[in-house]
Order: sequence, then structure tokens, then C-alpha cells
Amino acid sequence: MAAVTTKAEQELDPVTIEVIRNALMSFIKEMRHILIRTSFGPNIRERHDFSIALHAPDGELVAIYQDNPPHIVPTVYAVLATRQRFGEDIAPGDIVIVNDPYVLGGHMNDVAHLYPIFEAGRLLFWIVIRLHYIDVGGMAPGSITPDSREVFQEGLRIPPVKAYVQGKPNAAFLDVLFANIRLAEERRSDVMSLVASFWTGEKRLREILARHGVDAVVRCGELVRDRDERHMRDAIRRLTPGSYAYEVNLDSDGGTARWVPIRVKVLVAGDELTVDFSDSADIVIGPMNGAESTAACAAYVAIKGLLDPTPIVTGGSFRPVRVITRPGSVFRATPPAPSSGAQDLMHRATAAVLGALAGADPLRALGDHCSPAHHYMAGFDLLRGHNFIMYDSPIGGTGAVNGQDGSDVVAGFERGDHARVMSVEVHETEFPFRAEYNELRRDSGGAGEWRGGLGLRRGWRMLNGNGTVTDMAEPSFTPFFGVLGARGGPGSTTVVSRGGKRFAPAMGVGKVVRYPIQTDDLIEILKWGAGGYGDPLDRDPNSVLEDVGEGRVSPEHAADIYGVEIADGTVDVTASKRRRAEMRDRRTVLSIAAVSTDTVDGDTRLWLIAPSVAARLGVENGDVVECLAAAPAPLRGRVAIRAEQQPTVLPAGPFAIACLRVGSGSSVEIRPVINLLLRELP
Amino acid sequence: MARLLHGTTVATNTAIERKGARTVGIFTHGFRHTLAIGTAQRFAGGLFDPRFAKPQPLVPNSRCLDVEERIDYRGKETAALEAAELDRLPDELRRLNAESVAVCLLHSYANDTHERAIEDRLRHELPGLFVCRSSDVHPQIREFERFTTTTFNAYLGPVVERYLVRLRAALEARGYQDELLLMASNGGVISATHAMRYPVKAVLSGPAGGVSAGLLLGRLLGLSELITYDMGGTSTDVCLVKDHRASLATQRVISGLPLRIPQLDINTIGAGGGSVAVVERDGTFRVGPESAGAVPGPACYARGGEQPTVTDANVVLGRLGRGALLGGVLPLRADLANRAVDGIRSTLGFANLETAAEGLLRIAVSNMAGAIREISVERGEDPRQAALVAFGGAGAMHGCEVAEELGMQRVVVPLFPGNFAALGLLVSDERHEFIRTHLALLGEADLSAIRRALYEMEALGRQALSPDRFTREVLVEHAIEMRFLGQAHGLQLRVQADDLQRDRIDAAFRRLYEQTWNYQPEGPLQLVSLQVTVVGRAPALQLTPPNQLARASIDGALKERREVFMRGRWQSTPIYERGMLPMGANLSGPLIIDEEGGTTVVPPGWTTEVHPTGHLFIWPQ
Repeated sequence: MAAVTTKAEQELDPVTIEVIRNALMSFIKEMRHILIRTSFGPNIRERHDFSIALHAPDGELVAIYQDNPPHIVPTVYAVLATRQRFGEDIAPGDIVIVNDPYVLGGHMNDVAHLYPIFEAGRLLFWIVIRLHYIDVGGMAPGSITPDSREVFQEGLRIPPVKAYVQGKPNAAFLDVLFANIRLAEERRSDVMSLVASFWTGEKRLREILARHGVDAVVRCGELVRDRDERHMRDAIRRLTPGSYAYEVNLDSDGGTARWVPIRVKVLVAGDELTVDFSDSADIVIGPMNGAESTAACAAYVAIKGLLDPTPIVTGGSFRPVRVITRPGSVFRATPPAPSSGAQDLMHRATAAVLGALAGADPLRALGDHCSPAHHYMAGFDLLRGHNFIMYDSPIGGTGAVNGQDGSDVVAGFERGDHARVMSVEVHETEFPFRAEYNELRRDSGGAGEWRGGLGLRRGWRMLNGNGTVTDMAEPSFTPFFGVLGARGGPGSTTVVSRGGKRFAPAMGVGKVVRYPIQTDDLIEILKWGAGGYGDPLDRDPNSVLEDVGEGRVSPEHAADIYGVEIADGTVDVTASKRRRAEMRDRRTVLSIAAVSTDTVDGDTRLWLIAPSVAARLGVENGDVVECLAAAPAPLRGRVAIRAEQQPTVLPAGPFAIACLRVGSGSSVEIRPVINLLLRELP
Repeated sequence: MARLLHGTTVATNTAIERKGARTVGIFTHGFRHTLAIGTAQRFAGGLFDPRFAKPQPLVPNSRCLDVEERIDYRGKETAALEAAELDRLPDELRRLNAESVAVCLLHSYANDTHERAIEDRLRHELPGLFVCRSSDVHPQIREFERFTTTTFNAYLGPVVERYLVRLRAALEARGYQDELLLMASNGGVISATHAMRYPVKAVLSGPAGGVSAGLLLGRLLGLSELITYDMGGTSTDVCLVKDHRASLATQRVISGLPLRIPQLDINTIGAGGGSVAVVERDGTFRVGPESAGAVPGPACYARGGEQPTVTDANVVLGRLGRGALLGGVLPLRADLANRAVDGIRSTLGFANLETAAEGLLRIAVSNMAGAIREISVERGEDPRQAALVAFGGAGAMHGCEVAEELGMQRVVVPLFPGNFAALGLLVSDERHEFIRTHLALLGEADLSAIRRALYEMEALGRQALSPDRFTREVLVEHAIEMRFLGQAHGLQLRVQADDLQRDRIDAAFRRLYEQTWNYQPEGPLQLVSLQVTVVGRAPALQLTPPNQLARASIDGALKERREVFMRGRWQSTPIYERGMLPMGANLSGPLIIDEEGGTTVVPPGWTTEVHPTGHLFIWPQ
């Protein structure tokens, strides 16, 4: 149904609505500019790791510019918590600070700053700045750490507190804050520039209010949200109704190498979506816990990108989406559960929703794509004589889509457009490291008819210093998934070389916890490539040839995974045809047998196979295999070899059947998950 | 012919259409994928779009070579560039059929000896090859941006060179002997010889002329703050002028990649007379950036265009005369304009054609005002203090409404608004800008080394000046970019190289910071870069208004009265012929002033005066 102009919308003509909406976005852009120009920490001035948004009094998002949705979407909850704490006791000039992870569902470093805008005693809007503090105290420099077991170890937890009261700093609070975080002087300066940015923002917003009238601006904010809601409902109505399920595993909870499953069921009914995370894992001992807002944000951004891929977003887009979480699950962490991995949990939850919805519209499916990981070095700089925290968290590639390869090393669609690969020259100027290389990681793009984007490898030599390296990547080992038969790229990890020997400190728990580094060590960061789209054996051999020429794919990989043989700079057509036919013939197809429960070990999915099948696949107990069926996204589990298992049958429980969209007797392919990371490890 | 100046879009189009030379990049070992990796920013939208494709670099991986060498951030050599490395390069370039080469080594802004060694070797062995190096094109820290800028230069080099060589030969054949001058992105002119070496400086050659013309106008009329607003058929270019200086930008995203050279902060948006109105599926109503171009053009051109454009809306509203002639030949068809605009009327449910047309214009005006906000308020400048200089084919028609949207109090429509930008070329100074990264704490900086560097850069600038016999006077400016230690972005402080004093620089910078950002951080100051501008002044030019007929009078200038739709209703509006209006004439809107190459619309509530210089001043009552 085409959108119609509603009665309400006629109060303001479409032109005025557009003019006011543009004005609201451009004042945010101006605030962003001031903050970047005047801030101190490299995390803001170089990485632009902050976001600004305009919220309605009830918290609903009214406008952003091109800010980072995972920062912004959860700030609704910060507004709600602030209202709960202060009620009517909010005045012009107040600045409320919140970083409570049980509210915001992220790491505590992402601090929300709320600034109310009043007119004649009436609260019109909140301007919110969510800003990543490089450190908020706690057991580890940088605060985000895989080995935390309590929130207290992850820094200062701030429930809604007034940092400024009617335009005056709340010195008591700020003194406590700065006494408890590392690099406090830098943050002190940043808070000054943040306040300057709020004041300028307010001035600009007041100009907009004066120009168009308070009621018109407020009403416009409501109308655009209503419009976005209608738009989303229209898009949902075009999906095939039904229930879609998917499961994604975190490699580790931070404490053990045991998988943490995120299970989601998406119900498409009429013009509404219900996203139910109830079957996900229980709260874990390590920091990979989140809040309801973690789940909500994950669902919202995935659905927005799939159904309405335009940069304009308001809270209206999310009204038709209901998110369900279960008390006691990773999406309902309670104090004192640690949660500095909540952002990583959020990203994997996004992947789970994308995987499920791929079933509703395979043409819109996309290869699993790369998360921002938390990767940093901290320590003492002997040359400059001070402590440092160097964030270097390069991102990987984006997933392939139908008809198009993924892009190499670029922010995913649900991320704001800030720099995620830092200038080597700037880092060398400020930190005791020398970059040895910064290269695309060959063969890291998930193979498919359309190839996933590549990740990178980056090497830092420590000069004149000592410290530790921490790597909180998730997945920390297993490749991302491809769709419709495609593969994922290799996993991500950190390798340390010392005196000619290479160490992979992530082995075991899948994460690197303050691994000691010293002068002359080489720290290698290997970042994921993204998942592909479609069967690699269907990729145009000339595209494979071009990839080899451009160094994105090695000749061996071209032969082994794509079945394309290259000789003397051209495709050997005959040999490739033969090889592809052989590869197809070698695939292992089994028949689904529906069983009453999913087979799990603890919470890890097991695929029970006969010894002969294991031999054919070349896998052993505990290896990761994936099952490909009607649903575009593959379902992964660990191998459990059972002598009594029939060699032609694969037992599948109800959740597996829902994910794979199959029934008893359906043919499915089972194959090992190829992880090229193993090739690169010591 | 006295002095030949040229504004060209050849560099821009080559970059946008990706039709540049076959370029090879030479990088420090381990960093040959720097262009492909970038900063992981998208640079060109893409939020929430899973199908976003990252713009490809100008040089593919397969043409990126690397050499073993290393300079550290202090400029110290930590690994030598061995002769064997140099020896293999010429053959590799031949193998790759290179037309041009960009030499891109780490930290070359701090020490350029390795880059120079490679450049010298290649020039010597491969004389036909276009070679440039990052320490020459853009000697500033941040490798991705420096390398990308340098590859732009290499990519454009052979194309711009071929174009200029041909042009120069054609001119010589017609007897022109002097150096050909080119409009540069920084608003100055450069010699064709210089442009062939640094084609990247000519990327804004097209729109820069309008800014220069605006600067001239500002000097003539004593307007120190103005915004140039050049609206043509497909796009609008705007630029802020403050204290008689055009503002400069450090970065421009072109063809999806960041280009960093000293350039005018010209903001270009897809809003022109031919911009098309579109109603999206969800009811969003937008105008542009798509344009109907010249063919099929707006519906009223009767060349087959059917979508409603800005020009069509102006015809519907009677602002462009029905039956008026475009360029004297093409009659504007009001019936076709009406039909096109009627489409959006019915889709969006406007009460009538006029409100739909007015709505279309308001969107276009809001977009253009947004473009001006980006170069003013977002830079901390208040546009309300500035005059809006409206020109180009369509600028004068929308100037007052754009000014209104921004709260600006004065609009100036110059003489010959349709050709105003070309005038800018004539009056542009020759201008060379140099920036070198120089990181040091102010308290520890070696001021005598800085003085030497500033004079060295000045000497380079003087050498780069063309031997143009019309250049009269040379001006030199020295500046230091500074910031508080820990910040990434600096502010430019003007200094005198022969009078550098630590405490005075310190105090002056803190004052400047406070003025710019309205608050004062604490902490030590850091020098970021040294900047020198060398200007060869252009000959002075007098603008004379067209001959005024002795009997010019307001009544005599009145061509007709017709109904024009403004402010929500049809109003009887006088239409004047600009050339016939007497100096000092003072008229209140609504009114329209026609001339060849432009139509000035003065809405109700605005007054215009013909300034003694012939330019029109318009302000709200």
C-alpha cells in the first residue's frame, strides 16, 4: 500500500516538515564538528568514537546525523532511567551522565550525557552525546577486559547523576569521576569541549525553534516518527509471514572457551515483527552479558538495514518491532554481572537477526559481517615517560550481497562513519610502537559466488616500553558465516612474536587478556574477512582470476575453494570445470531425521554423525561443522561421532529444524567450517 | 589579447568519471595496501545500506609496488633505501605500462630524501613518465590522506598535461605568446606549467572563479563578509568570505575519496534550475540532486522533459515570464511546466498548482540554505552578518528566499550575474600555498629553524610565480597551525617570520582559540604545521556599469506588470529591464528585474536599490 498523507500530517505541509527535519539534522552535524575540533583524546579526535542525537521527552529518537546507531539506539533507556531517577527535578542547564551497563546495554566506556531543552517550563527535547571514554577505571587500563567477573572490575558505574546543575559543574561528582579513571586530565578537557558543544547546540536549536515556532518543531518531530513507522510497517507487510529462527555462537564468554549461543526467533505477522531472544544462553561468568537494550538495538539496526536501507532513522522506525528477552539470560544481566563485552554481544545478536530474516527474503540475505572489536595496548612509554593506552581496533570487511562482493575494511552498514583504522604515522608519533605492516589479509574474504570483503593484518613493533595487549574480538576464532552456500573468512586473533618465536595468547579462551609485551615484541593483529553470498563454485572464474591478480585470493585458495585453476595468468577452463564437478560430487548430503530435542553439550549444539561420515568429512569430535539447507544461513555445531548413528541421516531437534527450514526426510549438506586462521597461527 | 585565463573542469571530470592515467604507486614495504585499506570510513553515505560499496582507490593493488626503506616520525632514517631497490623499479614500471607514478613513503613529510631518490631515478630513466611524490604534493602527516592526494595528482597528471599542451599549442598558433594561466582550487591562478605538475590543484578550477569575483565585489563595495551563491542549471556552489578572505577547506571528498590540498571551502550541491522534484514511496518530497540537465531539460523547454524542475516551478509561478525566451531562442512553455508540476500536486495532495510549485521551490531553497549553513554555522561563522552575493543563471531568482531562510540581511546581485564567475578569472591573484607538518611543543620549538623553513617555503612560492608580465606586486603570508597538546585539529595563527616570539605566539593563539570556540582549555600548545602563502597580485580592474541612457527612469525601465505568485498569492508585479534602471533607483517588492543572463526576484517585504556602481542591493524592510 502506498503511503498516504494522513490528516495529522496536513497540519504541517510536507515542505515545512522537510525543512525542519533538515535543520534538526544539521544542528547535530554542527555539534559533532565542534566536538571533533576541540576534543583531546585520540579516541574522539581521531576515531570519532561518539554520537549525538536528539530525543523526545519520553526518550524516543527524533534525529541523528550520520552517528553510530549502536551508540544512539540504546540511549532511549538512558532517558527513561533519568526520568525515573529525577522525575520533574530536571532544570535547564542540567547535564545528566549515565553509563550503567544494565540500563544502556553496552560497555561502561560509552558514557551518555543528557542535556534537556526547555521552553517556557516545558521539556521539549533531550540532546544526548554518547562518548567513548578511553578508560572508566577498573582492573584493566582501558576498562574493557575479558577476565572481569564483576562489574566493579570494569570501572566506575554511573547511574543517572547530574554532572552539571543548572549550568554549573557538580564538582563533588566530577572530582569523584576524575579520581577514578585513567588519563583523567584528557577527559577533564573533553568534558569542557562537550559542554561547549551542548551550549552551541542549544543556541542553534533555539534558532530553529524561534524560526519555525516551538509547536511546529515538536509536531514535526512527531510527524516524521509517525511517517517512519508507516514506512516500516509497509516494508514488514511485504515480507512472507511466518516464523524464522537462527542461532549464532559467541566463541567464549571471556572465562572459558565454551560457546555462548544467541538464539532468536523472528515472527513476521501482518505489519509487525516480534524478535524473541528467550532461548539464548543464561548470564555468563565473563563480560559477554548485556541488557534488554542490547537485544533491542541489535534487532532494530538489523531490521532497519534489511527493510529500509536509508540513512534517515527515528524511533518511529522501531515501533512495529517488539523485542522479547528472558530474565536470567545474557540479555538481562543483573548486578554484579560483568558486561564490558556487551557491544560484542550486541553485534553477534545483530548477526543472529540477519541470519533469521535471511529466511524471509533470501535475495536480501547478506554474508555475516565484521564487528568492531576492542583491541588495545596499554603500558608505560619509556621514551616519553608516561603511561599510555593505545586503541587500535581495526575493522574487517562487509558481507557480500546478491550481485555484489563485500567491501574490504570498512564500517558495517549499522555503524556510524567514523575512522576505524588509525593513521600509522599519527600513532607512531604518540605511542611507543612502530608499524611493520598494514596489509589486506589475503584469502580472508569469505568465498562465494559473491565474495565477502577482506580483513587486514597489522603489525606493531614495541619500541622502548612495556605493557600488555588485550583483544576482545568476538567471534574470536570461528569464521563469520556465509549465506546460500558461501563460506566465511578466517577468524580474528592477536599473535605476539618475541625473539623469533610466535605466540598466540588467545588460544584456549579465544580472547587475549593483558598479555605482557615488551620492547622489540611484534604484535600482529589479524582481522576477519566477512561472509560471502552463494556457492563459491558458481563464482565467475574470471572474477576469481581478477581476485588473484589483485592479491585478494591466493592461487591455492582459488583452486581449493573456488575450483578455479589458473595457469600462466589465465583460467584453465577445462581443468576448472573438471575440478568443480569433482568438488560438487564430493559434497556430503544427509537426510534430516526430526527428533524431539536439540542435541547439546551444555549449551553447545552437537551434530551427531556416523564414523564413516566423519571420515568422509575429515573431522573429529569437537570440530565445527555447518549444515546447509533451505534457509540461506548455515547452522553450526560441533561434531559428535556416534557409532550407532546411521550414515545417511542427520538428527535435528525442533530449533535446528526451525533454523534450517526443513522437515523430516529433507536433504541437507554437512561440511566442515574451514578456518584459514589455523594456517596463520604458530 | 592581453592576459589569458582559463577555468576548467577537465581535472574534476577526469576524477569523477575515473578516466585518469594508468598510475602506479610506490610505497614503503608493508604499506602497499594503504590506499585500499584507508581509514575504514565510507566517506559517501551508506548508513544502514547493506549494499554500500566502498569506493575503490585510484590505483589498484596490482599496480602498488613497495620498497624496503624506513624513515621514523622524527625524520630519522631507520632503514636505508638500498641501490638494489632503486634498480628494479624502472623495469617494474615498464612491465606495468605505467603512465604515471605516485611515490608514497611513510613519514616523508618529515624527511623526503627517499622519495626524492626514487623520483630522481625515475625521471632520469623514464623521461616520458609523469612522476610525483607525496612529500611534494602534500607534505603532511596522515599517510592515507597524503597518499590518496598524491595518487590523485598522478592520476590526473597526464590527462591535464595533454589538455593544456593542446590548448597552449592552439593559442600559440593564434599568436598568443604569454603564459596561459589557470584558475586553481585555492581561488588563485597558477601558470599552466605549474598546473601540469600539480593538476590536483585545479580540481575546483571551474567554480573557483565565482569566488574570486565575489572577493573583488567585496573589495569594491566594502563588504568584508559575504557568501558567494552561484546557482546554475545543475548545481549550486557556495563559499564564505570573511575579512575579504575566502574560507579554505583542508579536505574535499571527490569520487568517494578524500582529497587534501589547500582549496576554497566551496560547497557544491545538486540544486539548480534543472533539479528535478521527486516524491519517494514513503511520501518524502525532495528536489535534486538529479537534474534534467540541458537535454531533456525542464519540462517547459519542450525538449521531452516531463519531470517538474525548479525552472518549471518558476514558470508556473510567473517568476519566469510565460513565453519568455531562454537565451533568446527557446520559448518557455507554461503549459508543459503546469502539467509537470501538476504531477506532484496530485501525488502530495496540494490544494493547487501554485502551492505545489511554491513547495518545490521551498525545498530547493532549504537545500541551498543547508549548503550555506555547512560552510558557515558549522564552521562557527554566523551567516547573518554576511551579504549574499547571488549570481549564475538562477542565483538572483532565489537569492532573497535563501537569505530569508538564513536570516541574512542583505543580498547583492552583481552586474552581469550570468557571466560574473568569468570575471573572477580576470581579477584573480596568482596564489601558491605551502603547508608542511612540523610537530613540536611551542615551549620547545626551535624558532630559528621555523624561521628558516618559512623563508624556504616563501622562496619556493616566489619561484613558482609565473613570469607573468602583468603581475604587479608580491604578497607573502606566514602562518603557524597550532593546537593544545592532545588535540587533533589546529587553528591557523598568522605570524611574521622575522619576529617570532614564544610568549606572544602563546598569548595570540589562546586569544584566537577563545574567539573561535568560546571557551579556553588549559595546557601546553603544540605547533602542527608551517604555512606560507605567496601571492602575485593581479592587475587592478575597474568595473563600469553599462551605459546608462541619459533619460533612464524607473518608469522607462518598466517593461510590464504581470501576475506573479509570491507569499501564497498572486500579486500584480512590475517587471523592469535592468539596463534601463537609473542609478539610485529605490524600489519595493514585489518586483522582478530582467536582464540577459539573469532574473532578479524581489519578494514582498524586500527593497532594492541600484547602487551607483550598478550592482543591485536588496534587503528586508
